[in-house]
Amino acid sequence: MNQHRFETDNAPRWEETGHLVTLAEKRQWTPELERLPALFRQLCADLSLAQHRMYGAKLCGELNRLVLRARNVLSRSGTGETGGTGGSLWATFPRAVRREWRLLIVNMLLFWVPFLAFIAAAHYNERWIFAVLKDQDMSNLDRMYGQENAGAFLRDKFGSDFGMFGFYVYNNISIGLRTIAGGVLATVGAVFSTALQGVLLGASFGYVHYSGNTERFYPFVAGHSSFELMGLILCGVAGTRLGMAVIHPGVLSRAEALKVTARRALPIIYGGPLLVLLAAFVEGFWSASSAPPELKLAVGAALWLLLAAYLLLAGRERRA
Amino acid sequence: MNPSAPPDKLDTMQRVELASGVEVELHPAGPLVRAGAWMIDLLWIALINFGLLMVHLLASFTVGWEAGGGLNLLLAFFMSWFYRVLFEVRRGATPGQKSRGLKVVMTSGAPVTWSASLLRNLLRGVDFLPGLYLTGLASCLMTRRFQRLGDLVADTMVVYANPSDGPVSLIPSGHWEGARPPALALSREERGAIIRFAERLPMWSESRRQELADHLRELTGATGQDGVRRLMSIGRWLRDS
Repeated sequence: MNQHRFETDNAPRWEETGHLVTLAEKRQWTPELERLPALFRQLCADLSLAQHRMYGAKLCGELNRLVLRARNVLSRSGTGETGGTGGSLWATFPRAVRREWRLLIVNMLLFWVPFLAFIAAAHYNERWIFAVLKDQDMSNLDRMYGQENAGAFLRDKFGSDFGMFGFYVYNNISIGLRTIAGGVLATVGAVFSTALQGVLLGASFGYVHYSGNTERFYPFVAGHSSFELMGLILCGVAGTRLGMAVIHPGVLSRAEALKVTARRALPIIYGGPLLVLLAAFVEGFWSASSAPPELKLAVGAALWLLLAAYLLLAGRERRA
Repeated sequence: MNPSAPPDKLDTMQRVELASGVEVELHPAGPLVRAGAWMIDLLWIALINFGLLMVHLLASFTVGWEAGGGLNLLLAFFMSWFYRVLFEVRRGATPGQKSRGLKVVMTSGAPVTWSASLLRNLLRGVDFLPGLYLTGLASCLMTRRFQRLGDLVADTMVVYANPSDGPVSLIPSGHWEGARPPALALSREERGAIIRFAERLPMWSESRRQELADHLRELTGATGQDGVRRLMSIGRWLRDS
């Protein structure tokens, strides 16, 4: 059979296929669409034949395009590719965190060691603080937790609550996302970002110890501390996991390893920033509220326990 | 990497095998056209941000400056991380990509998924380092599918939405003396090459046509204009009879 006859014989069928694909793309479901799978299989056979017989580029290109469009309307689900996280995030997130317990320990150290070290160093010599914090940071801390004008940190209107919430989302989640992304550079970006957060927060805590009012400070930070710190640390876990694919790809090529690792780390890539978002809610609408300090501290401790229990226990397979 | 592609391939076409066994071609887009798309997106983002500024001002007058500022930051957060994701998943391409005839797909040719689009845009900042997408450019040049780091991680690529396939299909008239069988038995590849020569003829200057046809003087038994004409006749015969 020559190309001319091949074209004239099959053109009406291709036209019908194209028509049905257009309908499906517009999501107009008609009974005719039941013919589409069969037409699609025939179309695939036509394309193979045209390719094998080296019919012209125009015909092959036309069929190629139609096959792709038909395939996309016939198989819309993304399963098997970088699609879902393999179940609901509620269960896959803690599971993935437990699977990465080694990196979790590493990132915990990366954050907590500079954090505690800076608090301790600031206790002995306050110059450590001035080396890290800008004047602006310190005057902000003074305004919120300073010795004078007690209660200035209490926001009295919903408006300012919402304003701060927007700021926390914009600032903190962006830090988390950048931490994950930076990890791709052989973990360097993630390690740097996590440790830097430890340093900055440690210096801030140290400054409040040095010149501020800790009785105002701790009730404020207690509520959101668990979600925010663990969220940032878990962003670090996700970032270092991606970086490890570059450093130690194993039997795979680096490109392939990155792809596979990203799919495995996906629950943490979602979960870490979501924890930071949760922290932004708490920090925006609860931490500055006028609840008694004892209650705030208790709530903060309870949230730490709750988060630990969730990450340790949730999503475990039930044994029969 | 696609092991089935011959290593000395000149074009950038990516062959992908579908579940039904047929191979389709995807045409990856290079860094230059993507840079153009990116700049158009920058303009769009600037425009939208300007619109959002208006929303911000309006909101600030109705709900107060502090809440308005919070709203503004929320919107800025959304724009910087999710503007492209939304367009890529819902439309297949950002406005900039669409205007350049590009779209984002999985390397399997399937539509891009939410997770994949989030991942590839999450890593945009890394690809930008140390400036002007130098990392992404290096990555593009080192991968067969022009994938930047974000594409590698998300298993996606940017392709031409409607790959152009040569301007003309019918063998133009005035170039043949009627269909005529080749004097030698030709292989499948050889027949395909002659048909493609006939299809692409209008794209070339006369001297280029003759230069190419002269390579086949043993088949056509002629050179120059006669050679082209005879080759066209063979092409016509191969295609139509």
